[in-house]
Amino acid sequence: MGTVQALICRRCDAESPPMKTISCPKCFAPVDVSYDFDSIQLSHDSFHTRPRTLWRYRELLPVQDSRSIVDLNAGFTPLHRCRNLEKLFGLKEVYVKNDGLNPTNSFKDRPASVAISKAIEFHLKTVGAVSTGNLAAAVSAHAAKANLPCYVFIPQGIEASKIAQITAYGPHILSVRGTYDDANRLAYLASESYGWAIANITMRPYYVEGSKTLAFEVCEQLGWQPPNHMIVAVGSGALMRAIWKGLNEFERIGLIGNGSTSIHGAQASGCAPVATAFKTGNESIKPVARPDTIAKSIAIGDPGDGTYAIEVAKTTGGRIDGIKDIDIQEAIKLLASKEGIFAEPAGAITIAQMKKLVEEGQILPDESVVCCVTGNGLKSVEAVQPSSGQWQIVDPTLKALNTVITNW
Amino acid sequence: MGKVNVKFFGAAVEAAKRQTETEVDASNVRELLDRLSDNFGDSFKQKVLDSKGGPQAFVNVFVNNTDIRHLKDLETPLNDGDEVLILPAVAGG
Repeated sequence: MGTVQALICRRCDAESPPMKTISCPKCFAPVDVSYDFDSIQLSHDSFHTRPRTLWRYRELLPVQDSRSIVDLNAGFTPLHRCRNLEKLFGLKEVYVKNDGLNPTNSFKDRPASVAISKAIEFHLKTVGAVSTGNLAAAVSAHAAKANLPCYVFIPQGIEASKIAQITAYGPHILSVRGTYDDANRLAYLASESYGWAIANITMRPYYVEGSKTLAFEVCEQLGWQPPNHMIVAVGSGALMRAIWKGLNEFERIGLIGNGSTSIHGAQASGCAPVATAFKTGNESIKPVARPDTIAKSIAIGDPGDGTYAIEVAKTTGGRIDGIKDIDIQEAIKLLASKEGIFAEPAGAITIAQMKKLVEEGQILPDESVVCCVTGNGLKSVEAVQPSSGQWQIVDPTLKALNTVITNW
Repeated sequence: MGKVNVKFFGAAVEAAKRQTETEVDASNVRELLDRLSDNFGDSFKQKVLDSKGGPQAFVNVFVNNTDIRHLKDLETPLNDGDEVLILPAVAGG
């Protein structure tokens, strides 16, 4: 299983033993799980007989005891070659990593599986999450499988389909009067007061380790050749940094060559604190008090990993941009109508960002691009309105049908 | 000037010499942080504050549950009975 060495502070490099924590005990900065890389002996052949889930990368995941693992078969989602989009954008290779096909229909099953497994390893009895919807579903489902009580904190105003899905898994749902950031603060105070394992707060160092498996899979599915570009949505910025960490770890143990992947981020214009800081060159990120976008999954006004997302973009030659809601809606339809993949706004935003980067010469025709579609379109059906003329009401006769289709 | 109830969480508890709560007289956040530095000394200054005396990048300060960055930052006024929370920046997402 995993070969965890310690938790290492991103800022002061202080080492601490693996424990339930949110940040460095010395300087408050985020901490990362580090591994004993010298002891990890993996080759491409190592993976032939492994399960087609994120746990195929177990040496690089922070759970030591396999009996703790809660596995709903998250991960190893399809990487679709998108030839219609290639033609449309004049690109050599376009892929969509369809994480909407995870067990609860978003990439959040990856970090949820790891965080809940680690909570069990730590003998913690109650789990939870603060969430705009997707993580709440993922954590609730894994908690249900593990027979653990679960508390989820959600802001008001998230999509009805997400609430229905969360409800079905049976957690205690706390609908917080306020924004995601208000829910976030309350969940933190609850974790401190009651000792709960909140997946994306007190289990955060382990939680983000699950997300990096998305990068592992992309490399493996491309024949161990990382793409020239990866594009992800940015809410807190954690996924963008996790992808960077994943690529670095694969390089370090020799499963891929040295880094050449530019990692780009996309935020909705109605909640774009990271994109704004990237554009203006500000070192600190000014939080957004009232997010306003259809991309509710990434409507996080105070992004905890925002500065790290910017660092990743700068280090890898990537960019982070704000995308208007209208362009996100167009991208949802484009991806569905050209490639048969229905994405939620926070997933389709990567297609809109790819279009922008191609138009502005950041992605060149002979390069390969992977757009990470992190959530299923059924999560937020409100975002899709039928185009004018797309619907016709027809009487149940062949004559009426003939009239309609002749004039369509 | 108001008597303000201050609560510490996470690593801020260590910085406040293991206290989870204290009362301070202060008329705004800047003054409050100065007083806390006087009371708790270098460990508080080094861990919690930046070189300008404000909260460092990974520390959030809330007055009555609102982030001071959405108020008047260090100049946010304080009144009798206000509650101030000092905690690690919570990542979420």
